Amino acid sequence: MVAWLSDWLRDIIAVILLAVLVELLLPNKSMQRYARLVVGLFILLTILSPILKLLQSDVSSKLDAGMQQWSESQMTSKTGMASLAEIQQNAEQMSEKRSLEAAKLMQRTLEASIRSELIERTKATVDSVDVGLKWVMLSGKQTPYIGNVTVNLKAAEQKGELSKEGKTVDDVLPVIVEVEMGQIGGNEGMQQSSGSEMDSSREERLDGNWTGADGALTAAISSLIVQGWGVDANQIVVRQPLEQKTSR
Amino acid sequence: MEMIQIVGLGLLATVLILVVREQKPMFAFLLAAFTGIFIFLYLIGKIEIVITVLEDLAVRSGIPSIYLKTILKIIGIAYIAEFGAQIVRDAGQESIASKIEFAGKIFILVMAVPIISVIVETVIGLLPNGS
Repeated sequence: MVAWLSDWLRDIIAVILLAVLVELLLPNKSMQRYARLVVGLFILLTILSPILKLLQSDVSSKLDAGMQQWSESQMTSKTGMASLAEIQQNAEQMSEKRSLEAAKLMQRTLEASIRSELIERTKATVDSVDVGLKWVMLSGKQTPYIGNVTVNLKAAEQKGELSKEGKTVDDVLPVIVEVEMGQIGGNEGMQQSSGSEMDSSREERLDGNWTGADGALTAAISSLIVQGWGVDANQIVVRQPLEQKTSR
Repeated sequence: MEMIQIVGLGLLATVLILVVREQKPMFAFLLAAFTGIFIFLYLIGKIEIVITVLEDLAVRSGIPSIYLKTILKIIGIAYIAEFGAQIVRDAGQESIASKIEFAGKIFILVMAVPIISVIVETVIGLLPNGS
């Protein structure tokens, strides 16, 4: 009984001391009135604590919950200012996106320049040029370089044959376009794959509807590309549509 | 010695402000505001010592920590509101200053809401039930 009484008294004294210190700390009179109200409520709560314990045991938990709710509403009402980490992350993402765009642009430019160069220098009937870019870490930056080059030649002979037959031209041409597009799309996926699969993708680029061009032309084209753009000769494929498929 | 430093800074700032005010009232205001901020930040370090004493007292006497937290929040709100209001008042915007003080008071009162609700519940529970 005495222990409980002394506990209670000690609590009250401590809270009152706290209240006096708070009143000393407060900056001006008008604030003091309000702070005094809250501190007075605390003292009241402390004095009432035996009765509170008698009636309901979870006063402090209820208080905790109330305060928590208040501080949470404070937190959420604060408009979100982006933290430094978020800003840096955003910057990284943006620069990544930018370098990807730059690489795409480079790819397109390369394809166009290789094509025009080939047509001009070898007089080959080049249909399209696919450049596959690879990425390498150079001084902490992802830097693109030319991974492989695929030169698609036009099926030169078929033009003459088909024009003689007349009617079949209409049937055949759409098929050519369809086959080519599908193959190119597939190849792009292949070219993005890692370097270890490079040889297999080289095989795959030649199978199906494509066949290698004749040796002399291939050699001329690939030597031109090797000289002009510094691509490894193994990564250059010259191909043209298969005759069987187109004349079907 | 620190007191002398602060008073010296204040006097210096006052003289400078008096000199500058004739030509550029804007710079006089800025000077006053920055002097105020400097002294405020300087004193925040000192307030920390007092707060440590308060915390020590609370822990030793076994007061629920929520009491101390709330009281510290009240002190913080009071100081910040007062500081902001005085800077604005220096600039001559009495009405905005009083709004800032008003906001501080409201936030202090919001602190009291959970306590009031607990007390009210207890008092209602104490009353004889209807009969």
